[in-house]
Amino acid sequence: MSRPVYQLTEKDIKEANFRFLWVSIAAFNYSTQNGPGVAFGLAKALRKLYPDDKDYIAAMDNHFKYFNSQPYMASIIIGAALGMEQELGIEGADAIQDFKTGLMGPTAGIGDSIFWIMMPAIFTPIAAAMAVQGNILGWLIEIAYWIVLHVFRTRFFGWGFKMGSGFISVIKDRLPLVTDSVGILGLVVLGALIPSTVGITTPLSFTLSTGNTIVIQDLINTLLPNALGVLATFIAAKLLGGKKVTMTQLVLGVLVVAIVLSALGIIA
Amino acid sequence: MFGMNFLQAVLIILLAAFKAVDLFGPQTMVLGWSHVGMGFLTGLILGKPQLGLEIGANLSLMSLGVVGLGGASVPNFSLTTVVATIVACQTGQDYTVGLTIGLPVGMMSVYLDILIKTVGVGIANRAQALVDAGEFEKGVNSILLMPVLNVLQYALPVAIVIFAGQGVTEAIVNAMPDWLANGLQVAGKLLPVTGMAMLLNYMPVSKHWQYLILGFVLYSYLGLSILPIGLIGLVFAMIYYNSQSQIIELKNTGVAVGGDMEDE
Repeated sequence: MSRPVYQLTEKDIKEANFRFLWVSIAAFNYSTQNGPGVAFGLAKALRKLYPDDKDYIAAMDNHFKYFNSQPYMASIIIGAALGMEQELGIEGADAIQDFKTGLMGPTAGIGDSIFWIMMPAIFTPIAAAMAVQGNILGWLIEIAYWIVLHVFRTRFFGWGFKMGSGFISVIKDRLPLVTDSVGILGLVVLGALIPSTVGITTPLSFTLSTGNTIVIQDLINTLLPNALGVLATFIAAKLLGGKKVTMTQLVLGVLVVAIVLSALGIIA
Repeated sequence: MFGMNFLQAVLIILLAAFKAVDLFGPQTMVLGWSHVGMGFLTGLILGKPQLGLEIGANLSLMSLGVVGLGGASVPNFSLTTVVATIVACQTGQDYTVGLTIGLPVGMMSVYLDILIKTVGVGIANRAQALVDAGEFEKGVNSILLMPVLNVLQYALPVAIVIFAGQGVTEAIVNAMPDWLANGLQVAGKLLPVTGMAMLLNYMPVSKHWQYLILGFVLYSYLGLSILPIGLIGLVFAMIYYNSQSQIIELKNTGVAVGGDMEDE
């Protein structure tokens, strides 16, 4: 085994983290996705590990290959991959590639649902609900959450480097449970969010032969408040879930339906 | 120039550019993940922060769960927020009128996004070819063209709207019949379903649907606001986490678990 002679310093790892952080998402392309971002991020550190041109080119070619994960998870994986370069050297190229491709999918699934779906689903409504009342406090709470998260997130690359390939066992046990628990919190918020934001009502009413007028909306309010909004949301969710309707089509469809139904006097 | 002065125009374009720098770069989200901040700051620059807040809040709700996961291209609601705020502030119309201009801009930007990610294929290939040929520095640094393109993806549409969009916007606003304006008002109340619908498809609804009912009851029948409801949700999440991690620990230590525990 030809372990690299050079030992990466704290500063080298910080630099790789910084380069990866700033470029990996922007460098996205349809064929190798974040591959060029990984290559850009590790370029300087790899040059120090592999002073020989042939080794360096081989290592870079390895990292130009297809890679894609949720950005936070990607930081841990790429940090760990650099740790493996340090440990194994150029002969570890295949192992490093297997490690990256084996982990990027499962971790992306977990990272996406926690960091891009559920946590925003908790903090965005807080920001929005207060903003509707003209209050920016909710927005400030949201920003505080992201700043705290970012401080942690910048350390992920270094953690990955220290753990090397050892971090697989850490994520296997606990992360699915974390996802589930955050999901519960998100669902409680969502359950409140749907009736509070989808504010449609119906002006429909009809007069009985006895002369009494029945206002449909009053009926709805006593039985199941905000039922119309809930109903509309579930129809929309079914349409999206069927995979045949895209988000853009849904937005346009909602616009058309709202305009037609309001012109007909069915909803207001 | 949409009735704004040059400084205001530059500030709004810089705001859009900054959002892109952060989003495609370190993702600090200092402006927030929601569009509340984009609406508020655009409104602030134009002297109507309250209107901006309202627009940002509504577009945040509309676009909940709209994330370009794994590099997918989705409508750019950040741009929609900025453009809708500009239109609403400068024409004195309701925010739903702002949406009629803002939504098309946000949706058309999907094509811009696809274009950049396609051009990226060529940039990546060229960078790798240069590195393989021994031109290390030049090859690696050529990748930096991608962040530049992505900043333009945000800044250019906003600049075009500001410097060339006033005529089109006024024509649309003036030609709008009453029934359409009314319909747009209703659409404003109905559009948040798109965000909620997207979220429902991502959340573990089939496994934990009862928590949706809890949130619904807390809001609709008990009238709590969103912050206390979130705290109650936190309590339930913690209870679930603690009980489930005990089960994991028991399993890991090899102790037989009696009773009919959930298989997790």
